[in-house]
Amino acid sequence: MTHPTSALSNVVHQRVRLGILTVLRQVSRADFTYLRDRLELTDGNLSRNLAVLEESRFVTIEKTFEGKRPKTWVKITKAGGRALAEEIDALRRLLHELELDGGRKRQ
Amino acid sequence: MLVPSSEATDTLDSLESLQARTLADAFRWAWLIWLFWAVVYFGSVPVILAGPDWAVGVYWLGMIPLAVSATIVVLRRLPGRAGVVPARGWRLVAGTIVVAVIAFAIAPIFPLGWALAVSVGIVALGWIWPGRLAIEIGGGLAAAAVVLVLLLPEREATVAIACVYAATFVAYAFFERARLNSLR
Repeated sequence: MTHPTSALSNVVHQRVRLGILTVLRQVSRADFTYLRDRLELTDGNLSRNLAVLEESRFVTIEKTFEGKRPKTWVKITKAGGRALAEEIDALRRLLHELELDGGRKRQ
Repeated sequence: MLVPSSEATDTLDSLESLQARTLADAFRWAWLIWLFWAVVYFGSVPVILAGPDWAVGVYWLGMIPLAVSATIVVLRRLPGRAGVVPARGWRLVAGTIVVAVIAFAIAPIFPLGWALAVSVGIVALGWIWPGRLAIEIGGGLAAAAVVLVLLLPEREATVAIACVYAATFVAYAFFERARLNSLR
């Protein structure tokens, strides 16, 4: 059986990207400003990480106008939802394995 | 990739907290829906007391588009302006329409059908709502409606049910508001 760390994704297992996907998984869509403020990021940092997620097809980005103000909406894709679920599952399995190891060592 | 156990635990904890705060942001105005229903129920009392029997049916018919509009404003428009839209908003809007239509359809056949239909509707919507308490409230209100029907004459029971529902919705609205604010 492979070690759970091998299931961690290089794209998803990064603090900012994990945060973005977690927020988007809970909602229908979120805009750029909300993500930036909720995750306490700078515009540049959020843009760079959104670009990585969009390139991996984990999110879709739509630019619209509300009145005269531009608004950037971000949505998670099915692939993004799956990737996040797999990441969380891998983290849980990793913890479980570490707990088992700890138990064996104590014995 | 090295992932020590403390990092994995911290990551999972912070993700859970982020999930809760995001849901609280997305549903931050949801308590207004409960307040809206409380006003609708309180509003039905004078109609039941002073109007002819069919008046309450007309009243509820008029409330259907209002209820749907209120649900859309609270779950789509306001969150849209704040930049975070709840995931199951349209299901709640559709659920509100179904419940309102069933309640109106039942009302002429069974005088207290609308009260039970709304209770069952709340139980159903409770599966979508972020908080299982809505399910318990819907079940409790349905039980209260049945008891009041058994204990009181029809008109008094209808008024009592409207008052109980309205008071419960007001209490739940403010409870939900406090709960969501504490999560944010």
